[in-house]
Parts: sequence; structure tokens; C-alpha cells
Amino acid sequence: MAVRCRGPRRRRLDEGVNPAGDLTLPTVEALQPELDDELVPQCPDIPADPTAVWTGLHRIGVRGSLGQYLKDLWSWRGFLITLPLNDMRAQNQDTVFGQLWHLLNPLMLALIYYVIFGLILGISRGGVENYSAFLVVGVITFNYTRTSMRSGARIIVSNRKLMQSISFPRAALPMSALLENVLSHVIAIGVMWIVLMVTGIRPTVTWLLAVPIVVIQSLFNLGLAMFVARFTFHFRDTTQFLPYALRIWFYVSGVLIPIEARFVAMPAARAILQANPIYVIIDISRDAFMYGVVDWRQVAIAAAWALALSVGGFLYFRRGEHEYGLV
Amino acid sequence: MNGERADGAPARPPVAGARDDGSATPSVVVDDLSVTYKVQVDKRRELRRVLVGSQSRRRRYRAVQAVRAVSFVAYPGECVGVIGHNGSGKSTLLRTIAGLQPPTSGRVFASARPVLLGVSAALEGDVSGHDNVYLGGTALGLTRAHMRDQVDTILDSAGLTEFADMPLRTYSSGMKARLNFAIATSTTPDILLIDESLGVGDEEFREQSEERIQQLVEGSGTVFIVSHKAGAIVAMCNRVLWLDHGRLVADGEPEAVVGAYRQLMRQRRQAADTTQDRTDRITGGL
Repeated sequence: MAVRCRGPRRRRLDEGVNPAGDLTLPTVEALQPELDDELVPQCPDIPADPTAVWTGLHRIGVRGSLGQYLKDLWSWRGFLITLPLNDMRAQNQDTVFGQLWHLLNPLMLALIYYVIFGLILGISRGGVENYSAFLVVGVITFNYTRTSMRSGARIIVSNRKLMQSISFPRAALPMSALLENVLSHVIAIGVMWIVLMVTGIRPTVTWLLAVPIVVIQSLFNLGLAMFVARFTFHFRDTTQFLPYALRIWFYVSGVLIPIEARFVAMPAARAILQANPIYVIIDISRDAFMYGVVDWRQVAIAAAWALALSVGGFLYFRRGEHEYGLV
Repeated sequence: MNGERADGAPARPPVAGARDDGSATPSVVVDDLSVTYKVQVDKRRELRRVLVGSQSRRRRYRAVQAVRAVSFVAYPGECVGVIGHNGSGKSTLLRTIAGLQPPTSGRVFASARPVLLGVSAALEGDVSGHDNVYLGGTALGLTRAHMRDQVDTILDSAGLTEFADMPLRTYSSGMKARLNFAIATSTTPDILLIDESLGVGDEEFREQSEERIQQLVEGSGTVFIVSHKAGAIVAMCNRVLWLDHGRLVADGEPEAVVGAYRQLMRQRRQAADTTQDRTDRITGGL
């Protein structure tokens, strides 16, 4: 049993900055002659590896293995569900429509784009038939990634207090935020389908692809949100320019214009624009919901993006784990 | 040493025998622990500073040694009080044991997941007390099914059954403290860390919480209590750690340690008075 603690504690005093300033007050030494010898802390006999000597002990405050982390996340699953449930309840508590807003939001979004582009401008652009359907699928798909990234940017700042008082696997926070977003996105897809049917599209069997598409986009969004979360933690200005970055991303993702047809004359520009992962996700959504076809190659590309981003974002987020709750 | 304890206070449990023979497994091991905060003094980091020369880019940090080379071993069945002046490192020590603050050097071991009961809670003001029980419990790693079984018991033990449907923001600070305490102790944690959060409650809550802490300690749990109320610590604890400017200066029998602590504080106060230095008087703590 090696004793790790060195020298009598009485002598190793007052190096470094004194948190209370430079005191000219009686120090503990002045008192210690009067302090019973029994009270002076003894150097405890701590073995070099306490976990080997005393079974059941584990080390606190160091990063555990990835496996342990995933196991912890699983045991905090109740928290992962409770957090979004409470948030949703709190959010619309004082509004007249309450939970109905989860339905009304995508409906309004679709309606506005339908009125402006479908009715007022009333044109089919770039040879797109049923432009309002084209638009609605793009807008609702893009909106899911947009809200996920924005809530990712907020997650650490708004849950600071929680992280300062309780230790839990921090990845539970972006995951629960995503859970909340995926719920409203599923409702939005329902609204989108209604709009599609109003514009004359009949449901096809490829609408079932909504399930894998939502899974792929959710993983993609989770990775992005985790990346944005830690990045914003280090560089707070992100919350300011993120809306602009998202706006630019919106315009280049082919939400408003059909990239395929528009850039026929510019194959290089088209290739670059089509490499955009959000474009790929929007593209497979339109194929599935509007045209009743599946391009498995595009689906594979989207799945690869989702896998790479979710794993990468998760590892990046976890590396900052210990810092998020510091005071 | 000091006759502060009221006569009607419950008898303190005896010091656990395990501590002396050294054979039992400790619940908390703190080995040569130091925690240093690097505080950025000049917090501005605007563009001009980032862009212009390397000299102005260098930020000024001040190192604050909150905990300095603290070592101790705590065993099941111990209620450990932690006393010291403001800024002595009590809360930092607790946060480090809870795993919220990584050690700068040294090591901390624990036999179970420590539960920290702090002043700032994880609870949400806009949802009901009932929903907050779910939130607080699952934040500690409990399942929703477990909380479904426990929610009524917890609300009842907090005496808040009739307020269960009201949003938490309408609760008084004492009611919030009750709820917090009830959630944290509902699982009978092996290691409970209490940071100043018992002070807000009324007399009834104080008695209830002391009773519950006694139960935990008797059921071979380990409880750490940080408090400025030395009297409460003497009443509840069977061991006291005294921190002064981050150092562990005394460790032992509550009455003796608290007595010595009070004596030093008195001396400091007198010294501050004679030098007429008001600032020192404040920063030196009472």
C-alpha cells in the first residue's frame, strides 16, 4: 500500500492566489497549537489503485469508455423522453390553440408558399408541373433540418443550470431536442400529404418511404445539432450568423428551383449543387411523395451522410462533455 | 466544546466503527485533490483583439485555487459536515465528488453514483409540480415507470399533494426546496451531497429532512452536508471537515471542530476590527 499523500499538510500552505485576497489575518497555523492533535487531518492510507483494493469503487470526474457512455445514455432514457414532453407542455401553455400549434405551424408554412408561388405567381417554374407540391415538400423537409440546427445552437446555453446541478450524459440534451423536433416533423409530413392530395397527387406505395427518409434525416440532423451545439458553446457568435447561413443553405438546396433542370447547361455547377446532402434528402422525398419513384443510389448517399454526420457529431460533442456544466 | 445544540435535538449516531479498523470498504475516497479555476479576468474578446498583434491577443487569466491538496476517506454510515468561510472551497469539493467539476490534480473515487442536492435545481417553472417530479427523477437516471410508482409518495412526503397541478413558478422557495429534497432522497442514495439547500425551509421541513438524513446514514449511506449553520451540522453529523482557503485544516469530532472553527473566525473578526479593514472583514468570512 503506497501512501500517495506527501508531507504534513500544515507546511504546504499559501502558495498561489488566495481566493479571499491578501489576508493579514491570523491563519490556521496561529490556531493550530490550540487545535487538538486529533483534529489535525491525518494523511489517509490510500493505495495506489483504490479500485483494486476496495471493490465497488469507481473513479469520478474522468471520461469513461464509449461503451459505458452509451450504457449511461440508455439508463437515462426516461429523462430523454420527459424533457421534450415537459418542453412541449410548457411551450404552448399560454396560447389559445395550445398543442394545436404543432399542426398549425406547418400548415401555415405550406399555405403561405402555396398562395405566393402557386396562386399569385401562378406559374410552373423551370418546367415543374405542380409547382406548389414541389415547393411544399422542399420547404417542409428543409424546415426540419433548420429547426434542428437552431435548437442545437441553443441547447447548451439554455440548459446550463441543469448541467451545473446534475451529472448525466450530456448527449441526452441534443437527443431529447431532436425527439421534440422529430415529433413536430412527423405531424408536418401529415400536413404535407394533405396538401399534396389537395394539389391532385394520389398516394402511392412509395409514401411508405417516409419512414426511412425520416430516420435518415433525423440522424443527419442529430449529427449537425451536436456539432452546432459544441461549436456554439466555444464561439457564441454562432447564434447570430446561423440564421443567415441557414438562409443561404435554403436558397442553394433547390427548395425553390429544380436544380436538375435549371442547370443543364452548367454541368459543373449542377454537380456541386447536387452534392449538397440536404438537396439529396429533398430529392428523394420529392421522388417518393410526388412521382412515386425511388432512386436507391440517392437513398444510399443520404444514408451515408446521415451515418457519417451522426457518428462524427456525437464524438465531437462528447469530447467537450466535461466543460458544459462548469460554473 | 460549544453548547449550541438544543436539548431536544436527536442524538447523533455514533462514529462508525468501520472507520478505525480500516477493513471496511470506503464510500468516498478523495486523494490529494486540488481544483484550480482559471478565471479570465479580461473577458473582452472582440474582433479588434483577435485580429491585432499577438501581444494584445494574450488574455489575462487569474488562477484561483479553490481546493488544495485535500485527502480524506469517508465510510458508509458517516454524516460528514463541511464547514468553512465563504469561498473556502466547500461547494467546489462537493461538485467534484458529484462529478460535475473535474479535478485539476488528484483523484476522487466513490462506491456509488453520488446525488447532489444543490440550491439551483433542475426543475422547470412552467410545468406542474407533478411533471417536475418526473423531470427531477429521470434527470437522476430513473425510469419513467419507476417515477409513475413514486410520484404520489414523493409529492406526499414533500407535503405538496394539493399543489401538484400548479406550475412550479408559483411555488415558494421553501416549497421548491421540499420538492427537491423529496426527489433526491426518494431513491435512498448511497451517497448524498447536500449543498446549503436545507436553509430555506421552515422548521417542519428542517425536522423532516434531518430525520430523513438520519435514516439514510443509519441505512449505511454517506451524507455530506455543506452549511453555514454550524449548529445544524453538530446536530446531524458524526464527522466534520473544516476547509480554510481550500485546505483541509481539521477533520474529526463535530463539536471540537466547530468550536475551533468559531474560535478562529472570532480571532479574524477581531483582527479585522483592529486594522479597521472592512474589506478583509467581509472577505475573511464570519
